[in-house]
Amino acid sequence: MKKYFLYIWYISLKDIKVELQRKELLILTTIFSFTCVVIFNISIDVSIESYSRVLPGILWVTIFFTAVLGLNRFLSKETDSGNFESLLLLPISRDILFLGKVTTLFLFMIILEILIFPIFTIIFNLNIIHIPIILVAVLATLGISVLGTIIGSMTSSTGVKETLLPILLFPLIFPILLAAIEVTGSVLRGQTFAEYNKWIQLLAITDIIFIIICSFLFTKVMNDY
Amino acid sequence: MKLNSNFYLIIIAAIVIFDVALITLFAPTEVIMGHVQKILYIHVPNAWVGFLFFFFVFIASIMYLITKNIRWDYFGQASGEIGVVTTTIMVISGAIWAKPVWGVWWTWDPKLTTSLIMLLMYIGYLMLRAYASNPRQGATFASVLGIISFVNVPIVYMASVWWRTVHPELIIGPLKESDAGLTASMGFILIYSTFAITILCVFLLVRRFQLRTLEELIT
Repeated sequence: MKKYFLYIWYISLKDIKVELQRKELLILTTIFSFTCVVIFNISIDVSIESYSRVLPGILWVTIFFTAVLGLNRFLSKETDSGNFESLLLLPISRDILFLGKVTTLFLFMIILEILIFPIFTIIFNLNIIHIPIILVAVLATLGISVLGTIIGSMTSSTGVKETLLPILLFPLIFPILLAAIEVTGSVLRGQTFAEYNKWIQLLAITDIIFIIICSFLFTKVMNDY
Repeated sequence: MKLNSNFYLIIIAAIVIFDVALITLFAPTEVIMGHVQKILYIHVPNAWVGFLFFFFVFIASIMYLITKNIRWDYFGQASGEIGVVTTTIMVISGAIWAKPVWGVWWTWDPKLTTSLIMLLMYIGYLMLRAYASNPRQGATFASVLGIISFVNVPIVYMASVWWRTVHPELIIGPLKESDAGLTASMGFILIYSTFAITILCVFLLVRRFQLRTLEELIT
């Protein structure tokens, strides 16, 4: 069992090392998300009273767009260099490979959120760094990473990968996005934990369901890669 | 599965024409909503067929991944295509009904939200198969997506129910719950209409399946 997680970490570590050498993915996506936040701030006239209704949407749509952009870049780099084929030759089960990729994407998005949240707080003059929001961000990020990895691994071998990924991904992560937006809004409105607790439970259950189903299905995807 | 298609076509055409006649000529006109209420006889059967065929997609996806028999993929594709068409009819007919009755074309009611997200998921299901680099890969990828999408539907429904409870209803029409008060003749026509449209779509499913098999023979 210990070995299982160690292998997952090794797969992820390889991507992290590559990224640390080039640093292009993180820089590109951070700048993109920053631009997104600025454009939203300029185009939507947000008054202080409507913050709790408008801001969560802006935050999560930005994170979703950035995740799609980063995922496309990350996966096409893997497929274009033929790296994926080499990884498939490894004598490990495919779900380890899947969970390794999920870990990379998860860590990448968490770092991105660590950068976006303070930027958000500064630009909108509103503190969004609260423990429930961080908890929900971790859960939602996990869900987006799981679904993003499996959908991305399929779309990256089609001819229209950049366009197809968001089309397929958005309806699937709809409940995750909704839960994240609702919890963020509730916290900003100052509601109690009991009022948005159900959303966190929904997120946790969704994550567990999709981790199990997707790591099984990923094996099937890779057999026909 | 060899059908003498003309024979079946005539029978099904008769069933559907009779259904149209029932709806237009014999169905009682609702007192308050008037003729627009008759959309119900198209809307509900199409919704039912949509759900049924997406369930077929789910079954076909599982069976394809287990057996790797390409005929399951044809079945999944045929079901997905017809499901998307009927769900689109359901969404559009619902909007036409909602405008005079609720006063808006669209509201983010849980059922409407779920239908729309479901429609988007299955359009994606068809797109992924179409854009895959080879048919075998398309079949596997689409099956994987077919399973994920089906599992996602109840989660989407749950989320949209909770979502609506925190937001104020846009329009509370006086007739919002009116569908519950169907008379006996209305109930009968609705059941008959559901039967007619299900039969029609099953026929289309078989024809699409045969066409897909023929396409494969030619290529």
